[in-house]
Amino acid sequence: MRTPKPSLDWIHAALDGDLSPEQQAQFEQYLAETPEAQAMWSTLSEVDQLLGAASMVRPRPGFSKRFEARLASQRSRAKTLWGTLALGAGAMVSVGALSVLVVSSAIVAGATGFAQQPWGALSMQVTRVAVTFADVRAVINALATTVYALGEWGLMQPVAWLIAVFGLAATAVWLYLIRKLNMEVTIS
Amino acid sequence: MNESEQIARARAGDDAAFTRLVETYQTVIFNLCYRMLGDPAEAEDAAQETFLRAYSQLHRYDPGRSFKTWLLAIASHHCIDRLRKRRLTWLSLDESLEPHPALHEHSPGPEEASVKREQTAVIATLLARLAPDDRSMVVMRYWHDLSYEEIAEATGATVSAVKSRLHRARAQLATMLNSKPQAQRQPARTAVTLGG
Repeated sequence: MRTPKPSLDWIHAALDGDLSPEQQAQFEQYLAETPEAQAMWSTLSEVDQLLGAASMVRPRPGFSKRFEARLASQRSRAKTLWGTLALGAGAMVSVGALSVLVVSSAIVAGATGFAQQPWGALSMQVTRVAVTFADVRAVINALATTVYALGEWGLMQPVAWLIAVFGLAATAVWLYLIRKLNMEVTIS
Repeated sequence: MNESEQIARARAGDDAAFTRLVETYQTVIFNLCYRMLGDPAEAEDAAQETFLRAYSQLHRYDPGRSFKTWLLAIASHHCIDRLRKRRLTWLSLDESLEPHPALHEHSPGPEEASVKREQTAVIATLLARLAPDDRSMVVMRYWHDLSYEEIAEATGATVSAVKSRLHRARAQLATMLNSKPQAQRQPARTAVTLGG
């Protein structure tokens, strides 16, 4: 190895056992001639001995059993979470498909009127289609009203708003579920 | 069955083989976590988490590397993450850490046990003052006898960086040790087990 620089480098190299016999002799002479270095050597050696003599700490008995139980618990949670994710994805696809169906039906059915009175025609058609979905009628009506109001404001096309709202909701649900999976199951 | 076979079996989905690996390395990993975190309950949790991570990442393990070093790397990174999240409050040198009551000495004789407890406290205090990255290197070097090259492999640092950080940590520890009463500074090696 290269000859170390005086002082600390020498001491560390000596502690690491990196000095050749020749260098060791030089180092000892250096220590004898330099009281500060001798003091530093003494303290660093003490640190080395203290740490070198420190105990290994063992876990409580039954560590591997506890590990097995934890692994089984994580697997069970993973199944539940994946099931939730699948259900969420299914629900989102259903809502998306329903939205597309409602909006596209409204657009197709009201194509003529749409050209003259776009927002009113769309709202009317959306409402008309919603009648066929008795259980979700109120929701569709509210949605149609919202889309109509936004259209009235002239901010954006209602379909774009519908898609944006749906996209945001879907993204939020996905992020939440994936974050949960990452925290509890996926191991980085 | 040797370690390579156990690893191969574990990778093939044999949970019992992985459990045997856990049994083999539980002390190594627990000790690192305990020395890093300073709390037996948190060390247990971190060690368990380390093995869970290892289990799920087993397909990424390179059989050409040391399994122990790979596990230590996972444990070290995990503990550093925990310490960063904890926003560790640096302890004053004058505040000595009491050893956890769950720490049991195997050595005979109350006097010797008392000295060792004091040393455990001294070491815990000293380690707690080091930055998490330096602490993990010190533990790997002194408790697990890893070479500079192995520490570099485990931490992702270069060998020269490891050397430099360890030397700096050693000097820092020496400075801290100088401020300790002489009675607390006698080294002695014992095995310690966490009970209860």
